This record gives sequence, structure tokens and C-alpha cells, in this order.
Amino acid sequence: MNRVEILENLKRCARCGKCRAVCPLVAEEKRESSGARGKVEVIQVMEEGLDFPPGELSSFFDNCLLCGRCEVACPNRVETVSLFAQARSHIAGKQGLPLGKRAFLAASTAPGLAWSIAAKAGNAVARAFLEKIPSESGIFYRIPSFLPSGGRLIPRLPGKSFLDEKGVSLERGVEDSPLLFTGCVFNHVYPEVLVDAVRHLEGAIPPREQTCCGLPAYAAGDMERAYSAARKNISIFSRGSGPIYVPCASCLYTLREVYPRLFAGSEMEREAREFSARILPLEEALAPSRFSGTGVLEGVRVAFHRPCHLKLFPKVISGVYTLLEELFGDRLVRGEWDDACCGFGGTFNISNYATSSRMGERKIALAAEKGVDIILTSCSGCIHHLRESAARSGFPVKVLHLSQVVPAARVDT
Amino acid sequence: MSSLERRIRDIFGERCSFSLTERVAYSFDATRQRAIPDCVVFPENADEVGELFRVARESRIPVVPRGAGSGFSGGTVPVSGGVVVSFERMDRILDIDEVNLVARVEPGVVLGNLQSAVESMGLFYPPDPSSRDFCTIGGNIAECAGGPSGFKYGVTKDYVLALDNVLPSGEFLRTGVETVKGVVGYNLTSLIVGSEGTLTVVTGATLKLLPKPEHVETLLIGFRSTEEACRGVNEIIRKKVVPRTIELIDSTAVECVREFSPVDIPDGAGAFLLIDVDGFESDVKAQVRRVKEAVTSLPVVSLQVEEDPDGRESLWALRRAISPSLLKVNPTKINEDITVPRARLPEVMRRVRELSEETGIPIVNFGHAGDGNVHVNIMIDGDDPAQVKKAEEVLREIFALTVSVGGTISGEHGVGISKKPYIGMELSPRQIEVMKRLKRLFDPDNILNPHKIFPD
Ligand SMILES: Cc1cc2nc3c(=O)[nH]c(=O)nc-3n(C[C@H](O)[C@H](O)[C@H](O)COP(=O)(O)OP(=O)(O)OC[C@H]3O[C@@H](n4cnc5c(N)ncnc54)[C@H](O)[C@@H]3O)c2cc1C
Ligand code: SF4
Ligand code: SF4
Repeated sequence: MNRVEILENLKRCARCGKCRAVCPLVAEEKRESSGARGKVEVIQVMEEGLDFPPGELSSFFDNCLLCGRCEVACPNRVETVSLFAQARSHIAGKQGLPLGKRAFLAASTAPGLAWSIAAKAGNAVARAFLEKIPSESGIFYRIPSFLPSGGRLIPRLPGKSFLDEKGVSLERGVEDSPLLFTGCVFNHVYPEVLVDAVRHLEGAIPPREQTCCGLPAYAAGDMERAYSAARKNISIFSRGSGPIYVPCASCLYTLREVYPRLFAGSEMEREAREFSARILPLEEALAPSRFSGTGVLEGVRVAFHRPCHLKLFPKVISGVYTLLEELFGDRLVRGEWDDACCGFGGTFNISNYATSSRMGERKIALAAEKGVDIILTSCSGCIHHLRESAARSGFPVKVLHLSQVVPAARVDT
Repeated sequence: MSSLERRIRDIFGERCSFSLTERVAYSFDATRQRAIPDCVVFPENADEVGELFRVARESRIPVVPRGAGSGFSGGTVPVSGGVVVSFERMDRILDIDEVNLVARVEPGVVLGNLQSAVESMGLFYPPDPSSRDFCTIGGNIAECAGGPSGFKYGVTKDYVLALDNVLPSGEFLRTGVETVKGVVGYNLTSLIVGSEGTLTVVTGATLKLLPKPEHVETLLIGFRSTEEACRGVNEIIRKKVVPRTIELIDSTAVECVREFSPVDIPDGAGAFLLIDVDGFESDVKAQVRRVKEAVTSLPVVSLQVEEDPDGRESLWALRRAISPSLLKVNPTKINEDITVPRARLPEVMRRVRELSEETGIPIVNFGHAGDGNVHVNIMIDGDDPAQVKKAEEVLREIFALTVSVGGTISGEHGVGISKKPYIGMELSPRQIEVMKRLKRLFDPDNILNPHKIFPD
């Protein structure tokens, strides 16, 4: 976001307060400064030249999930997420990175450190794979934070990443075959999700050369890495022209919403827009009419956790409900709480660990209270965080990706 | 740490902030005016507010109450610094009494949360400002907020039975009754409702509830022009029907939403009335018939009735699409909420249109036509001093016209700092003097939300 765009966004914000009503942190902390409007005002004041005591700004802007709910609710279409990412970047440049993120940079620039941390954390197989995880990846962003807090769950990294096994080097000429964007958490940590995802995508190709969507870097204010991830993905996927299915809501948001903003006004703008226009949520491939209903996971009660980053797609959300109702009938537990944020927020989970954990554990406790056995969702961040929260709080609630329970069999009519 | 800071920390512990970021976050409201306070505190009970006043009085520092900061008149902007008292943490609904039909709440309760809670019990709290999802009851009481349903059900003042207050001396004052009636002594509760947080700080309220109307239907009626729509309002009222709402969407507003409209805008429709009727189902059907009859004397362009929630919602989406679409006209919106006797509405709207044509400044009007309350939005580029000056002249003329037909320059947003320069156009010097004496009586040291309402 360049300066002109920042100023335009600041001007567009009417300070109406509508975003207060949807912000998970305003609800949690009951403070204006936790929400978008308070942050917009602080950016405005920074723009006008007021100096803040060193250190105050970074913790202030860290306190945001970058969940994008405020953007979706905003009547004036203020691009708050971009404003806040930009503010983080500005602060990182000026005042040094806050501890958690400095550790990240060290890890990503000196892979040796990351290995040793992972190895220390008791995961020997991790070592070989960490080398291959793109440095923009959210996995890297999390690892440094294992250092201070002992109680963290580290997913056991599987032997081989999904793309190692199933990735296809994308040659020109694949034309309009559907493509799969894996996302790095699914690719490296939960490849089984992708194995299930492709069952729903006939003939889909997962391009081997794809990289992290760049959201973790963007959220950490590390614009350079965010740009390089975006450029690489756009160029790889431009070798084909088919729809690009994305199983993770956070990647989806980044590829669809953030990329065009990154390149707005640049020579890559058109290419970025064309790329984004091809991005589809994997849920689109799970159209209810394609399945025979009922009988799935007999006796099990499920709930849908609505990822914040899926908010931009209200039709997809209602489609998921229709599908789950068809499959599970009254074993689908529905309520307002479906919409409660899990509190992950990527870098937020590092910088504001206590709040993040509290929100996740509360969601799990609610699910348990309502007799839910499995929470279904479609965001790698939510899955990771909710699993950790379930393990911590000891409730026997499982967390799975939608594609893992929805049967792929077509109805023959 | 100054001794003042220490004393405030002694009262509030962790629940106060002196950091610049936090103070900036509490420096403004929806008018975008800004003044940075010295500190923000988050009380959890009235005692803490009382103690704060004792400190503030000794040190002569201003105390400014704040709900959600969604005010449209700068009421919570701490113009001379001091302590902003945020009620975000006093947000409990203490009791909903189904027999006495009252709710007891803390001031920081978000209006929409109260409404959902009472509606889930088959009850109804009617005041419905469009900010319902985020504004607080404390702010509603201070501004006497209203909304579309005001036509049938009145505004906040009609639902406040009793208040728990803290006086600027730090003493507690309970006002009002818990009953439907009560005439012992002066009605201090009505004095405090609408006093814009300048007389007392409200720390609790007992609110009147109604049974929730069983059935609601929505009509969207298209007219050729704004004036004809306004005549439509009067025809409906002449037929002795009282819809819950009669909202006007004028021709300029229609133009703004035409492109993005969630519903089809028929050719030739220059203005709309959006009408909700409620009650028992059979009664609603009869009312809808009456409304239709009432408007047949006018050249109606379109008429649509919806009764299921989704259909109704799609009609209301038209109304809600207006506000954000205004930015397409011009970047700065001067949003006024004049209210006139409704019989005078057609002529007032005509003059507003002429003013817009004469000056070339777009003026978009919509709002609660049933109440004669219209949101007049003067759209300019605030960075252009010539336009700002012209808008100021237009504004003065609209206010003068409003007062001359027996109206008021603010139906629901309050004076705050935004309308301070204009109150003399409506109030006599004697009225202002009596009000200032009242202010001195409540707040002799002028520490509670100073420099608001009255020109200094
Ligand atoms: C998009 C939008 C739509 C709106 N629509 C309407 C509408 O339809 N109708 C309408 O009437 N208004 C409307 N408003 C204006 C505003 O929402 C109302 O005035 C509302 O009542 C303000 O509530 P708040 O909690 O935001 O108060 P704030 O803005 O925080 O404060 C408003 C005033 O109340 C005082 N105050 C707050 N809490 C207390 C307390 N506990 N004790 C004493 N004083 C207190 C403050 O000092 C200030 O003077 C709208 C605003 C927006 C942004
Ligand atoms: S970001 Fe949007 S919703 Fe939030 S205060 Fe600004 S204009 Fe309103
Ligand atoms: S991105 Fe999410 S957490 Fe951050 S201000 Fe917006 S709604 Fe709140």
C-alpha cells in the first residue's frame, strides 16, 4: 500500500464504529484500541506527525488478528488489514522487530537455528523438512515462539510433504485444468487434508513449485517476503489458466484479496487481478447436490467453525451449512457461536499468546458443552489452533477439515 | 509518575491507561473531531466513578463519559483534556423482568445486545438508532437517541424509568421510579435524558419494555418525486394508521444507490417511502390495506409488500445502502438531523432542493419522515475552503428555515460541540441562561464534560 492509498483509506474511514461490533478482540478486551477504528485513528495521528514513545506502537499494532472481519463489515470499504500490515511494516523498519518476530527472522535466515529448535522440541524428522519450508511460511513464524513457552503443541511433521509426493511440475499447456493451492501448513504439517481435498477435484494438478501464500510475512510487516511469495505464486500459476482451488481460508483471503492490493498501481496489477479472479474456495467443489446424503460418521455430532477469512464468501458459508445439514441432519449442531473467532491470528498467537489461547479454549469448551464430537472447518490456522486448544483443555473434541468428512462419491442420477 | 496518576491508578489498578496510543484511541467520535485526553479509565462500578470525581474535583480536571464513541455531535470528545471514562466494561444486563416489563442495565450495554436479549423473551425495546449494533445505552440516554420506530413508539426518553447517577461532587443520585407512573417531585430523569453527559454520569438504568409485536410487514412505495413522497406521508397519517416506521429515501439518495441497489428501482421512481407496520397479524393486514388506500390518491410508481424476514430485509437493504454510497458524491458529509412538524415537510424539502440547485452543492436527504426528522447530508470536499464556506451558509439557511416552521435543529444527535454555534438560532437567551444555571447547580466546578452545548 503506497502513501496515497494509505491517505485515501484514512479519509474513507468515517469513524462510525461499525467495525467495533464485529471485532473479536473488542468483544474480548472491551477496548476501543483493540479494534480497527482505534487503530485507524492512531495511524492517522502518526501520519499527521505525532511521535509515539518507542515500543508503544509495536505492541499496539500486534494486538490484532488481521482476521479481516472489520473490512467485511465496513460500509466504506476501508482496507483495514492492509493499513495494519503496513503499520507493522513501518514500525518494524523504524523501531526494530518485536522479540517474537526478530526470532523469526533469525530462524528463517539461519535455518540452523530453526532445526535446532525443532530438534530440541523432540521432533527429529522435522529437521529435514524445515529446510524446504518456504521462509515466508507460518510454520517458521511459530517455531521461535516455542522457545519461551513450554506448553506448546508442535505438530509432528510427517515424513514427506504433500507436494514432495504428489506435486507436479507445471508445464505450459495444462490449459484450463483445475489447480490446487496447498498452503504450507497443509502441505508440510497436515498433508492428509490435501489427500482428501483432491478427491473432490477431478483431475486437479498441485503445482510443485508453488510457495507459501505470504500471509504470515505480510502480517509480520515483512513486505519484501510477502511480495516475493506473491510474485512467485502468480508466475507459477499463470502457466495454467484453470480455476485455482484453495483448501485454507486464510490462504484464500490472501490470494484473492491481498494480492491485488499488493500490486495495485504497479505493472503487475493486471496479472495479479487475473490470478485472483481464478481463486476459488475448495468448498465450491463440495457442492451438496453432488453427494448422497446421510449415513456419514454415524452417531457423531459435528459443528462448523466459520473461519474469519471465509467471511468474504457468505454464499460459500451458507452452501457449507446446506451440505452439512444434508449429510448430518440433526447431528449438525448450529448456533451463533459457530461464528466466534478461534483467536489464532498467526503472528497474534505469538505476540498475544494468553489472549489467543483463552479464545481457542473457550471455543472448544463451548463445543464440548453442546456435545460436539468433531469441529469441521477449512482454515489451516484454525485447525492448528483449535487442535492445540483441545489438547490443552482436555476436551475430547476433534478438529477436521471439511474435505476430510464429506464423501466424494458423486450421486449417479 | 505524577501524584494524580498515582491516585487514579489507586482507584482503577490495571483498568486505566496513560499510554499515548490508548489515549488517541479515545480522542474522537463519529464526527471525526479529535482531542487527546490525559488518561482513560474503565470503571466497573459506580463507587469507582464517585472516587474519580473526588480526585478530579480537587485537581480540577475534566471528566468525560464515553460509551461507544458513535456520537454525531462530538459529545464525548474531551475538548479540554482530562479523563475519559469508558463504560465498555460496565456492560451487564442485570435483570429482565417479564411481569413488570422492565430491564435493569449497566450503561455500557450495547443496544443491539439488549434488544436481542429481550426479544428472545418475547419482549421489545423499541428505540432503534441505526448504530444499534455498537452504540451503548448510556450514550442513547445521554443523546436521547431515536430511530425509525420513533414514529409509533417514541424515542429513548419514552423508555427510561429510573437512573442511577453519580454527580460531579462524587455523590450518588437515584432518579425516577420503577413504575409506569410517578409524579412525586420534579422529573429529574427527563432532565438527565438528553443532557449529553453534562449533568451527571449514568451508571445504571431501569428501562421500560413492551411485548414484542407478533407480526411485521414492510412496504416499499415508489413516488415520482420527494415532494410527492412527503405528501404520501401526510395522506397515510390522515387515514389514521400508525405504521412503526415511515422512512423517506429522496431522489438524490435514490440516484446514489441506483447502481448498487439491492432491489430493482423502477423507471420513473424518484423517491421512496419504506414503511413497517406491526401488531397482530390480522391487524397488520388491515393496516397495509389502509396504507395502500391512502397513497392511491397520488401517482404511485411502484408498490411492494413483503412479510417474510428475508423479503423485508431486502427492502431495508435499500435504505442501508444509502449511507455508504454517499461517499461517491463527495468525500465530506455534513450530516444534520433537522426535525419539522410533518405537515411542513414537503415545503422544507422543496426549499432544500432549491438551495442545492442554487449553490451546486449536492444535498442528499433520507430519514424518519414520519417524525418529520430528515437526515440532511450536505456533500462537499472538505479540503476545499470555498466549499466549506458555502456549505456553512447553506447550513445556516436550512437551520433558519427549520426554526421558522416550528422545527428543531437536532432531532436526535444532540448539540455537543458540532452545533454549539447554532443553538442561539433556536433557543432564546433566557432558555440558555436557565439551562446554564442548571448546569452550575449540578456541576459547580464545571468538571463534567465541559465546553459542550453552550457557546463559551
Ligand atoms: C452509523 C451511525 C448511525 C447512527 N444512527 C443514529 C440514529 O439513527 N439515531 C440516533 O439518535 N443516533 C444515531 N447515531 C448517533 C449515535 O449512535 C447515538 O447518539 C448514540 O446514542 C451514541 O451512543 P454511544 O454509546 O456511541 O455514545 P458516545 O458517542 O460515546 O457518547 C455520546 C454522549 O453520551 C455521553 N455519555 C455516554 N455514556 C454516558 C454515561 N454512562 N453517562 C453520561 N453520559 C454518557 C457522552 O459524554 C457523550 O456526550 C448514529 C451514529 C452512527 C455512527
Ligand atoms: S473502518 Fe469502516 S466500519 Fe470501522 S470506523 Fe472506519 S468506516 Fe466505520
Ligand atoms: S482485523 Fe480482526 S482483530 Fe483486527 S481490528 Fe479487524 S476485526 Fe479486529
